[in-house]
Amino acid sequence: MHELRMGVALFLLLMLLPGLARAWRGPTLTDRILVIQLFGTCGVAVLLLLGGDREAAALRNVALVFAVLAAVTVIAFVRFAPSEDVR
Amino acid sequence: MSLVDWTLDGVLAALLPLIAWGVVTAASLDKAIMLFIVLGFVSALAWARLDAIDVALVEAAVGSGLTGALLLSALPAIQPRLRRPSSLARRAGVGALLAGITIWLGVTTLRLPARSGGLAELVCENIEQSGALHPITAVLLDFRGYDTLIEVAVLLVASLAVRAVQRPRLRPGRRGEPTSEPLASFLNLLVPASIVIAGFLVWEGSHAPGGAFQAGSILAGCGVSLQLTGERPALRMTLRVRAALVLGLAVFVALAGAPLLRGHDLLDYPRPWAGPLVFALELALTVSIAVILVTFFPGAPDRPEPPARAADSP
Amino acid sequence: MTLQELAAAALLFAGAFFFLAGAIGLLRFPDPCTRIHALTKADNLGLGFVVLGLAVEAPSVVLVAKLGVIWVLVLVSSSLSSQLIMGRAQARAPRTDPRGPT
Repeated sequence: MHELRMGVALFLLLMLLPGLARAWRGPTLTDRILVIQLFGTCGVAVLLLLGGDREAAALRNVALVFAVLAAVTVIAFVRFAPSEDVR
Repeated sequence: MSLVDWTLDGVLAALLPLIAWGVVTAASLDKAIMLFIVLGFVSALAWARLDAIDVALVEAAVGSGLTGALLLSALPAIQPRLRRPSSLARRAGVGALLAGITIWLGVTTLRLPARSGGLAELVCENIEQSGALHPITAVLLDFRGYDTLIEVAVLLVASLAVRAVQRPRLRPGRRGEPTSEPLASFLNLLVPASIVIAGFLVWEGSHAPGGAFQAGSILAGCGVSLQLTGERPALRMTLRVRAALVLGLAVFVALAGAPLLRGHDLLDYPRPWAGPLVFALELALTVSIAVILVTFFPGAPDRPEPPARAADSP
Repeated sequence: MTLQELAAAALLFAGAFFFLAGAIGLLRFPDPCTRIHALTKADNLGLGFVVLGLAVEAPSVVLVAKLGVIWVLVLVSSSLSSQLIMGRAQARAPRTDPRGPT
């Protein structure tokens, strides 16, 4: 099962590449904040998968921290991001 | 290590410089900040893969969570000054400086002994003498408690410096327009969840990865959310807030200095009490770190001031 | 492979599929509104299935509860985030936008 979990984790990491491409291209800041959301969720999933191993169980706490702080960035973004980027 | 593990590490190792390149070459500051937040996520994953779970926790909490929000909050103040691109000479100068530092660091790294055991064994052998069961907590709060003590003092000074230079137009916000309903119910969930999870992480810190810095940043994240949404006004320097700011440092100094009175060394906690003392210290540090981090944020941007109340702001 | 492992594998693959769908949607869809629609599939279903797949194998009920808490936290923050992000995007979109406020 270790292999399977690592395989899925690897697959999810590869899913970050399209996200990165979108972050690079934009065109708007809205697109980029969406990428941040994707990375956050992917990060939680990858950490949980890695934490499936007995010796790495503490990684679930990292996932917990990711999860509880997930919205702070977005709240700050909505307050402070500049407005010139309407599509 | 199987093939999948190797590929996993390889992809992570490739992603980091790729994103970092994106950060430094981004066309504008806001894009760079967004990519920097993404970089924080990926480096937290990399630390996790390196079995540095304590570092991964801090990176997740401070690096990607709070730093991103802090950079975004600085954006309105910085951006207007960045209209003109900096001169070629200046860019070349900064580039040369950074290249120099990088080369210096690289050379230093290469000159390190290839197989140094470090102090890990020494720590693990003597861990029973400290007040903690987790080696990292033992190092941070006991063996190298001196470093942590000074770090906490640095954080406090940084917070005071922020208060000193904060722009007057970013006055403490007030309870403003009613928060939207989804936001209100989210905050109703976030506050208790943050407190429980922060408490859990402090508790974990005594025997596993976790501790005051991580827990403090989670509470700070919660406080910042309340403040930025206008649900709570920005912190004012009331007596209670001041007390919370210095609580961690005060408890630390008291605990560190008390042994001196009995003729022992600085930070030499009395043995049977070391465990509970270190835990109490962690709790005090959590509160202070949380409040200190919240003071770094400017609070909700001011809405147009109603004339009747214009006089009462500081 | 036991039945339990088989179920876990199937659920993990389902999760991976929704992450794939979300990532492709984020890359290929034409505008932020549709992209956020794709992204929420990864947030809700992708992570949900991964959590389920791990929960099937979890050795204790406490662990299942912890996984559940993490999922609920992500779910709640992601729905709030989506709302805030699109609220901001629409408030700032020009009124003359041919697509109009959707």
